[in-house]
Order: sequence, then C-alpha cells, then structure tokens
Amino acid sequence: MPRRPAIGQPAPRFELPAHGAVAGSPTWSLDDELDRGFTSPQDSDTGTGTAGAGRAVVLIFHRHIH
Amino acid sequence: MRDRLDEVAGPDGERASVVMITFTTSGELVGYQQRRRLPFPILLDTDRRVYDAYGMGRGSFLDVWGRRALLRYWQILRPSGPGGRRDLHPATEDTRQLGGDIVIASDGRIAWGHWSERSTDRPSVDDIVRAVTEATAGVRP
Repeated sequence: MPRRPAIGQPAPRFELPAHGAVAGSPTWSLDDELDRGFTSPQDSDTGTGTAGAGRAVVLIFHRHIH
Repeated sequence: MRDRLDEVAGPDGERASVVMITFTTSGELVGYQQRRRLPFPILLDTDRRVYDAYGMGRGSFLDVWGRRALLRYWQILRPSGPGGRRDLHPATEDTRQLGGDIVIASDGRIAWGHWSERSTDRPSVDDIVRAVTEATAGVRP
C-alpha cells in the first residue's frame, strides 16, 4: 500500500493532463489552482491573501471506469 | 456530488475547486463524460503517480467484490434500477484500485482526507461539505 500523506502536511504537488479543455489549458496544476485562491500575484507571493483567499481544492480519486 | 456541487464549491466556485482524477485514458472518457455530464475537470493520471503520492492503494479481491459491492451493483443494474444496465461492460481496467477524497486548504496543506477501504466505502457529500467549511474557516480575510 502506498504511504498516505498526513493531515496537516503539505499536499503533494502535481500537474496532470485534463480531459477536454480546462480554461484553455491542456493541463491542470495544483500550484496554479492554489494561486487562484488569492486576489493578486503579490498576495500569492507573500502568502498573506486578501479578499478571495481561503479557497480550498477538492480532489476526487475515482475508481475504474471501464 | 454532481447534484450538490454548489454546496461543496459555492455557487460561483468561491469556496473550492473540485476536480476528479482518474487513471483511465482520455479516449475511454468520452462516452462516460457524455453520459455523466460532470461539471468539473477530469484529470488523467494513467500511470497512477498521483494516486500513489496521495496514498490511494489497491484493495483485495474481497475488498472490491464483497457482499456490499455485489448488493450495490444489483441495486444499480436491476430492471427497476436507475438505468445503469446500458453501462454494463466487462471491466478492462484495474478494478482493485481504490479511490478517495482529499480536501486541500488554500495554504497547500491537506486539511481532510478519506481513503476508501473497500469499493463501497465512500464519504458522504455532507462529510465533504463539512471538510471544505472547516478548511476555509479562519482564513485571514
């Protein structure tokens, strides 16, 4: 069994191809998505955040489809 | 999840971004997405590198094909069921791969996780809504 990351630990970063077009990009990146939780690149750089901060990311790991 | 996405993500997606990760191929997903019309991105992890990184393991034969799973399949496929019979095809993928759900807070840390122990072991949408609420609470405005 692969090792589970602990609650409270940094989430493993990844970038994956997306099925179909996602916002015009062929790939989806966790880092990019986390940055979208901030209102400006400056907020993202400092990690302080302002209005719009605090947006979570939900990952749904699917079982087999076929 | 699809029917309650607004509760999880917020009406304008302001609470959370939801993505589904699968190890199937893009070609196999075309019909699936047409039938399900999932309103969130589907990401392809064909070599299961991200499954491994998040600790999503494989179950035993009984974990996957136990009594609860067979009962669930019967509920779906019975003549008066929700019409899943047209989706019935021999499995060609790894049926022992288990799934799970992870909520990541905006600081990039894992706030909550559910790692399925069996094929029928899924968190409720209420659990996920609660986890998102807690992950987004207390963030400095």
